[in-house]
Amino acid sequence: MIDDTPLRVALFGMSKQASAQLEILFRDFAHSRFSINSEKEAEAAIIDLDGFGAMELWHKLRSQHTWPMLLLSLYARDCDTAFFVQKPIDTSTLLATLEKLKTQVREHQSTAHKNIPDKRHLSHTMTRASAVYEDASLCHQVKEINLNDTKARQQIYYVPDEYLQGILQQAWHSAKRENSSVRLDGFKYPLLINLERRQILYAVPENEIHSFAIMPVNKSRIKIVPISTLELQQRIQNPVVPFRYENFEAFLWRITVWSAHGRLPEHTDLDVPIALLYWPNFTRLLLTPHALQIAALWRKRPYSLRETLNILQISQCAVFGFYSAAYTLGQALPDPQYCRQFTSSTPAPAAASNPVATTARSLLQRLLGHLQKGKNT
Amino acid sequence: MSAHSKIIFTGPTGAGKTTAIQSLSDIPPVKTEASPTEEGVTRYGKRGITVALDYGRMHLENGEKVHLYGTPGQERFDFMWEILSEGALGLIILIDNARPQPLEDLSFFLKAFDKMIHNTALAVGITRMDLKTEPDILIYRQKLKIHGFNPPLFEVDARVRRDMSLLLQALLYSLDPELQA
Repeated sequence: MIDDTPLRVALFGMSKQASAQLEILFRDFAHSRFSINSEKEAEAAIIDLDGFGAMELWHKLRSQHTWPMLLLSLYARDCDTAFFVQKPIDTSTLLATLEKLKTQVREHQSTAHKNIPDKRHLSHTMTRASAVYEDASLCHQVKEINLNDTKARQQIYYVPDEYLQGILQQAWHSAKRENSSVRLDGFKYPLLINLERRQILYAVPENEIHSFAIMPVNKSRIKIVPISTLELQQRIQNPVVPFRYENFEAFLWRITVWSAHGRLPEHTDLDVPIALLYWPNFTRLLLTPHALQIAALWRKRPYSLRETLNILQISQCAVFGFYSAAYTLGQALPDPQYCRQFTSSTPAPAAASNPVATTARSLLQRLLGHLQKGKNT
Repeated sequence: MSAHSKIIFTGPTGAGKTTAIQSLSDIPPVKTEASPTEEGVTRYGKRGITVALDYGRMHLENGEKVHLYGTPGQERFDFMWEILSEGALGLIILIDNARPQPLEDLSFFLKAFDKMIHNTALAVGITRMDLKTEPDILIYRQKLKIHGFNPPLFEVDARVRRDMSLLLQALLYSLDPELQA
């Protein structure tokens, strides 16, 4: 029997335009089998994960609701039991996925109605989903790649020059070369780099910066223009809209994290040890998953990316994302000489970095857990 | 007190030690009087001296407690520091960037706690950089390097729990990068 009751869906992380398009799609193409409703009335949710703050929103919703959720993103995700449609969205794929979502909701309602709740299954589903996305808050590519598969390995690389990251790096080099501040045209409002203060000034909304950062940029649209101190002062004193001021390195770090999406700059060698020259100033940077842990390991001594994954047993996304940001800022560098220095006679990495007694480690872990449980962490 | 359950906060007066402890403590921080242990008395030949310390405590899930001690500034009772440091997990130095000679302050505390730093771990937080931007983090890194250290070094606001928590987490990972929370 066909269920004619519309599935009540709440939309999150979407612009008004995208919401309106979905409304038309539901009404005219899906014959009102789905409807857009408020969060309070909804039975399911659709979340655009590419918007600024969307991941945090998704985590929040997941903790508040037991709805099935359909995630949309530009980037392939290993969603496991969650529903996912990759952009650009194919209408038939979206509707087919929504039908599955609807079936699940109705089956669950039917089961609940019969007083035979399958809590074990539900619990399993939520736990798996939680585990999959634990590291995904800042990395959009969470799928683990077989690093021994040459073809699959290509997926872990990106070309920084094709992104806003590359443009910012180019602008910074240009500013230093010309010994002058620069203006970046091609955005809604120009971005200004104040060389002397090592600051970037921007009036573009944060969500637009995020959108620029995650997608390849049409470089012909962007122009890097050296500007005089006088022009800089005039623009600061008479802004079209108020500027945000940010340390350039912190901004570039953030943009790189977004552009990299847990990937590595092309040609990065997985087997060359990485030297972390110093601890990044983490309190003033966008913190990537496990960044403190990776930094601590690399400060002990250089390890290759592959060794780091093996020792810490954390996601590729976390290691690659952190490396990309630290490398872009010149804080982490491949160190081939270290590779030669440490030969096969070197103790196994795990054994070499295990100086803490078991009892002390146990205490440290509990303390760490206590700190990470804190609401501001 | 377990030998492995205290963390020492040090730094010049006004650097934010009390506030940092307040940010992390699960109890309202208190000023407490401490006196040298018998061992300390013997070693230092001091008898009957007490000193005011900032004190806070973190309560872990299994009922275990981690004690947070803030030392007095460098002007007073420096012999207490070594006694306090015995058995500590690590040291957090807070430096007030708005003081006249913050780099000299850093050198002072690095030397004063040299033994402890070599035996445990160190993290350095620079406070009040919003009031005075120089010296910047780069200069502090160079100063630490001159002293032979390259610890976690973050700009912090001692009032902000996240800042202090990250600094402390970095200290813990410095002790053991393979910790799993």
